[in-house]
Amino acid sequence: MARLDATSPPTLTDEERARYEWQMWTPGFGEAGQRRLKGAAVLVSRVGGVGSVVAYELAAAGVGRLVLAHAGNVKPSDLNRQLLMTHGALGTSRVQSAARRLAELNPNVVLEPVPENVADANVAGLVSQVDLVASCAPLFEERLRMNREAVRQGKPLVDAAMYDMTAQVMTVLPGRTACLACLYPEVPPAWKREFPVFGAVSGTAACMAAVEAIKILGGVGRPLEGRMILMDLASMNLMTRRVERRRGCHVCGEL
Amino acid sequence: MKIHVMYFAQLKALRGAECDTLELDEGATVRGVIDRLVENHGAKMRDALLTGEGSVRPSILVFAGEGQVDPASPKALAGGQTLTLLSPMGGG
Ligand SMILES: [Zn+2]
Repeated sequence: MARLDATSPPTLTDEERARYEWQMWTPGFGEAGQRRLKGAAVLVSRVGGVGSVVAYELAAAGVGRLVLAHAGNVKPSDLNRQLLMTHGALGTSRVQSAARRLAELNPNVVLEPVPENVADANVAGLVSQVDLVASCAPLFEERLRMNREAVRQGKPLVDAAMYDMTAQVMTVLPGRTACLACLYPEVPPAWKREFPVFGAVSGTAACMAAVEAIKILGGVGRPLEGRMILMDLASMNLMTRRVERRRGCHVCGEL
Repeated sequence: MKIHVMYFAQLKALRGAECDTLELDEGATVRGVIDRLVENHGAKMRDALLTGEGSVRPSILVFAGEGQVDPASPKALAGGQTLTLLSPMGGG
């Protein structure tokens, strides 16, 4: 987090003061917090059911720069949950659709659409451009890759995932809390690419992940340090559970 | 003693229920609960929870009360405790 404080955060324009007025009323946040958000950058990958809503909330909140990584074109089956994709964008680039929607909402945000999924070849470069990683990919390979690189670069990571009507959110503060590889030392074998999902379920997990990012970057509230939120939205049973660092974790064990 | 079990993700779908209450002998461990679930719910539950060699899959997270526990811990559970079982979630 030292990086965020290293330079004085940018000042706000009058338009931005008006736009963010209601959230700047949040105790402990204020204009100083808003300036910290404006000075911050977040990688969101992918911008699907979870990542679309994370990116939308972060753009609304005024995070200064969003790097959006997601390959492929919009398909009809994306549209029940990938809320930055539009019917009119079917068959065209997902990240371009996402960037267009975000720019409509908040033209102050610098958007960097990257039409690629996170891979070994691009992960270091993507993570190096940002202050925080929002891990929103459906595949464990990609989430574990972002986790490994975020830990290596000492940057916070917020991971959100769901299955059916259950969802989880956790925050990784490298060297201080369990990382994703502490919990999942290897890619779990049973996971399948397709899953039952309502957009309102992935969006709920996403809003919580966005709140985590806003708290960490804006310096307000208390992030999920060493805790995971678990929710069963079928019964509206929400809980937090402590998660432990694993001795000898191949990603964070040396920190 | 009674142990409550809550299921998340595919485990919940596999069980077809959000939670169960099991009757176990005093001194039962996490592994005892898992063995009971395998006994009660058959091959699919076994495959979700255990590796081919019969140990609990490393990707199954187990919480006793609010804290994470090692599924191989020999520590006895307390009557009335809730175990939360979480299989890996990866949807986005
Ligand atoms: Zn770790």
